[in-house]
Amino acid sequence: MDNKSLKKLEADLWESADLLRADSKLTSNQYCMPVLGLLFLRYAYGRFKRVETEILKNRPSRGGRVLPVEPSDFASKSALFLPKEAQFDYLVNLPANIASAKLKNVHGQPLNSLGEVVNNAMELVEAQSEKLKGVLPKTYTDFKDELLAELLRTFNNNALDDVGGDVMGRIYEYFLSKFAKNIASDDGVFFTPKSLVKMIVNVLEPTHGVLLDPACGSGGMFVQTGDFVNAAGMASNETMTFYGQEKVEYNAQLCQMNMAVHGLTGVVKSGDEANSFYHDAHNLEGQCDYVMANPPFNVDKVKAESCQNAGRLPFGLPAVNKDKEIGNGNYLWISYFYSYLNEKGRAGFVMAASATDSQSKDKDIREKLVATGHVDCMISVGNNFFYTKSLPCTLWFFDKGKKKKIQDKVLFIDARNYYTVVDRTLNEWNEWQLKNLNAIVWLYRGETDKYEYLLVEYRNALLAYADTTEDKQLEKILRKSAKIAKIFAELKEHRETLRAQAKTAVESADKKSKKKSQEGWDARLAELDEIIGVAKEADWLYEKFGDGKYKDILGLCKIATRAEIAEKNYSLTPGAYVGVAPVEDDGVDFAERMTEIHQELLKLQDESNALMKTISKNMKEMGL
Amino acid sequence: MAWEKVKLGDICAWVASGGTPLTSKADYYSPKEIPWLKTQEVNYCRIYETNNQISKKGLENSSAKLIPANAVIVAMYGQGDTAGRVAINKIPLCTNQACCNLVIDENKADYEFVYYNLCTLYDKLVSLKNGGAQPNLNAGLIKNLEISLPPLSTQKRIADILSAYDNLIENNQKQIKLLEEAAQRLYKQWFIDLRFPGHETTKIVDGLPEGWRKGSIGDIAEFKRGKVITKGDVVEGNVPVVAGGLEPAYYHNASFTESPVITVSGSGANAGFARMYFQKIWASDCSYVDSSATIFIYFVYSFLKENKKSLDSLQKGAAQPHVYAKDINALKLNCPPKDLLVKFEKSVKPLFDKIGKCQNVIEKSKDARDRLLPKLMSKKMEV
Repeated sequence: MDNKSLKKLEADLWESADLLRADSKLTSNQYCMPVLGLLFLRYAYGRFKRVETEILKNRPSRGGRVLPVEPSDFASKSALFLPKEAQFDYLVNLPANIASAKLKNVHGQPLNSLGEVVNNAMELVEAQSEKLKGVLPKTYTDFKDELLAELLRTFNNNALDDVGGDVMGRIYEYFLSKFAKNIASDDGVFFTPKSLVKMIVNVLEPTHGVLLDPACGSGGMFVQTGDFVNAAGMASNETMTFYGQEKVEYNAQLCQMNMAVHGLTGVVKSGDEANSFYHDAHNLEGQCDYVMANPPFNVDKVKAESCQNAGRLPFGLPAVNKDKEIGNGNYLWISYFYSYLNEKGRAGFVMAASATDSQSKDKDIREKLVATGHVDCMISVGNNFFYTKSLPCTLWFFDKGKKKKIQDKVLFIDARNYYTVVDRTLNEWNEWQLKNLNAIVWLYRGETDKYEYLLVEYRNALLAYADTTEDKQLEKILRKSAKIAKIFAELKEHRETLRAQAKTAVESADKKSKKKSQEGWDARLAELDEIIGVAKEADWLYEKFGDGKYKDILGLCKIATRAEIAEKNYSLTPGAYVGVAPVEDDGVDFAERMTEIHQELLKLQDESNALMKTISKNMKEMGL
Repeated sequence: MAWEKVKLGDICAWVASGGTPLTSKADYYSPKEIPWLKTQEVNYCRIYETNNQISKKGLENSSAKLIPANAVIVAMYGQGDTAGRVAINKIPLCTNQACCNLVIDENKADYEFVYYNLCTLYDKLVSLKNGGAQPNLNAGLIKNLEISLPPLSTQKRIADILSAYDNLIENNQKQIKLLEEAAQRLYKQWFIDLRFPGHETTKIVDGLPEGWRKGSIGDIAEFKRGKVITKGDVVEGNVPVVAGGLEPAYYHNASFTESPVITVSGSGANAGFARMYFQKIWASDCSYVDSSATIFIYFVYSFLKENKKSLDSLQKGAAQPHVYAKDINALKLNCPPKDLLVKFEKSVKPLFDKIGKCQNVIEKSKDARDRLLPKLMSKKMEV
C-alpha cells in the first residue's frame, strides 16, 4: 500500500470512528482505550488469518480432510492463536439480538450484549499470551450495542485485509496521535510527538542491544526504534531488547498494545513499582546501550530520602527544600538517563527548555556532566511541537562512546525556527527536515559519507518525480544537472507560471466545468508544491554545508568546547552559543531612503500644522 | 437643535458578526489574502492593518464576512476588559466571531459620530453583558442599545472636531515611526555596514576598522536592575512606573531616573521589550539605563533595536520568561571609537528630540480629545 493510500485509509477510519463517538455520550478518555483495543483485535485477526493460511497450505491431509490448526502451530510463528469467539469475522457477523444466540463466556456465564461478547473476546486473547494479561480493555459494556456494532463494521474494512503489521502499526499510531489531542492526562504527555521521537532515534542510531525508556508513556520510543532498526535491514525483535517503566497503568496498557501491534516485545513495568524516582524497576544501572525518554517535566514534591535510596545519582541530589523534598525532578531524570548507560551507551531525551539554564544545585550537576565529556549534542525545539501544550523544549544527547576527536566538544543546534506547520497550533519536522538536522550531527561526528548519501537521496527523490510527472517542463527542470539552488529557483518560477495558467484556464472555463477545472489545477499545483518542498530542504542544506564540510552557522549550529561552556557558566542553552541569524538586509539604498523619509516628514509636518490650525479654529468656535 | 433616541440596529445598513476558519486547514490561512481581525486589536483606534490574515478559501469556508471600510466594530467578548471596546476599520477586512460589525447607513448617521458616541458608553456596554461563567455581549444586545443622535450635519461637525485630534495623533505617530527609521538606518549604515564618516581612509585590522575593539554593550552603558514597586505602594502622580508590559503599569509621584531613559522589560510575555522614555520614570520590573549613566544613550537604544532578536533570545526561566540586566550588558558589540560615537549622538539627537516632542503632542491631544468627548456627546456644548 503506497503512502498516499495509507494516509487516506488512516483519515477515513479515524473520521468514521470519531463521528460515532460524537453521537454517543462517551468522553474521549472512555472512548480511546476500547477503540485502540478493537484496532488491536483487528490486527491480531489479520495476522491470525495470514498465518493460518500458511499453516494449512503446508498441512498434510488425512483421508481427504485437512487437520484443523492448533495453538502450538501459531506460537512457532510469533502469532497469536485466536479462538473462534475472539475472531473479528465472528464478532462482526453476530445477530443483532445477542441474547437470543444463547452465547456463553469463558466462565460459562450467559452473554447478553455485544459489549459482553467483546469483553469476552478480549479475555480469550489475553489468555493466549502472558504479555497481554491485564492489558486489553474490557469496558465494552459502556458502549451501546449499536455503536459497538458500527465500530466493528468500520474496522472490518477490506483494505485492512491486505495490510501487514507495519501498516496496521501506522494506523494505530495515527489514532493515538489523534486521541492525544483530546485526552487530559495529569501525568503529562503520554504521546510524544513523532518527529521528536524520530529525531532522538535518528541521532542515537540504534542497531542492537538493550533499550530502556524509564518514562515510556505509550511506547513511541520503542516503536520508532523498531522502525529504524527494521529499515536498516535488521529484525528489531531479534537485535533489540526493550525495557519500559510507566507509572500510569493506562499509559502502560497503551504501550503494550502499541508494541504488540508493531510486532515488538518487551518488558514493561507499571504502577508504583515503576515510579522511576523511587525504583530502578529493571535493575539496569550501567547496563543499557540506549536510553530514550520524554519524562514529565518539572515534577515537584519528590521525597529526597526515598529517591536517594533508589540510587542512580552519579552527580548528587538536586536541591532539597525544608520539607525534605526535591522541588524539581528534571535533574533526577537527567542523572538517571546518564547512570543507566553502559560504557558505550547513548541517551537521547526530551527535557523542559528551562533545564539547560537552571541554577544552584542543578548547575553543579550540569558542570559535572559536562566534565565527563559525554554530552554529545543539544537541540532546542520551539513552541507548538506538543499536542496539548504550547511549550518549548530541548533534546539532550549523551554518548559515552564519543570519538576522541570530539571528546572536548558539544554540538549545539537551535532548531526553534526550523519546522513545518501542521496547523496553527502544531508544528513538526517533516521527513527531509529530520534528515537535514541529522546531517549536521553526522558532520560533527565526521561521518561525511552519510551526508554524501543524503545528497544522493535528494537527487534520487527529485528524479523519481521526474519519472512520474506528465508535465514536460517540470521534468526538464528536474533532470537538469545543475546546482540545487538553481533547480529550486526554476521550480518556483514554474509554479508562478502554472498559477497564472490555472487562473486563466479557470476563468475562461464555462460554469459547468469550472469546478472540475479548478480541482484539476489544484491537484497539479499540489504535486508541484510537494516537489518544491523537497527542493527547498535540499537547498537549505546545500547552501550551508555544500558537499559535506561542517561549519558553524550563526543562528543554527555551533560546536563549543568545554572551556567555552565553562565560560558561559555551564549553560547548555543552544541559543547562547549559536547566536542569532543575521537579519537580511532589506536591500534599500541608504541615501535614497533617507531622502524619502525626509520628504515624508516635511509633508507630515505640513499636515500637522494644518491640523493645528483646524483645532484652533474649532476651539474658537466652541467659545473655548 | 433636537437630539433623538435611536436604536443602533435602526441606523445600520448591516450588522454582522464573523467567524474563524478551521485552524486545521492550512490553506484557509495561506496565502494571506484578507485581513482578519480579533478583538484584542479592537481598542479605541482606527485599524489600518491586522495581525492575522486568511485566504479567500478561508473566507468562503467559514462564517467570516467581508466588512467594508468605515464600519464601527464592537468587541463582544474576549480577555479582561475587551468586551465593550470599539474601533473603526479603515480598510475592508473580516473578523472573528467575537466582533460585532456595524455598517452604518450613511443616510441616517455618521459612522465617526457613532464611534465617538460608543467610546463614551463603555460602562453601559459592560453592564449589558449577560451569561454565567463568562459574561458576553451579543449582537441583539448591541442592536437594541439606544444612543442619542443630533441631526446628521451636527453629527458630522462633532465628528470633525474630535477626529481632528485623532488625525493629529496619527500624524505624530507616523512621524515617530519615520524618525525612528531614520536613526536606525543611520546606525546600520555606520556601525553594521561600516560606512561611517572617514571609512574610506580607515584600515581594517583583524576584521575591525582601526580604533574599534571587540566588547559588549555593558562597556558603553551598564544596565541596572529596577526597583520593584507594588500597586499598594504607588502614590498617584505623573511619573510612569515601568514594569513588564508595553505601557507603564501605573503613575507614581516620584521618579529616580534621568531623562531620556531606556527600559528593557524584565519578565512576562514581553520580556526583552526595549523602549525609550523622554521623561523621568520609576523603573520597576525592568532593567534600565539613563543619560546619567552614559553620554551615548541614543547609540545604546539603536543598538538594542538592531539586536532585538538577541534580546528576545535572552529569555530564561521556567514558568515565566525573564531578561536580566547582566545578560543585556553581556551582549556582544564591536565598540566604535569615542569620537565616532559622539558624532552619531550629535547626528541623531535632533531626531530623538523630535520624537519626544511628537510623543508630547500625542499625550496632550489624547487628553484634550478625552476631555472634549463626553461634553460633545452630552449636548453641553454648542458647535
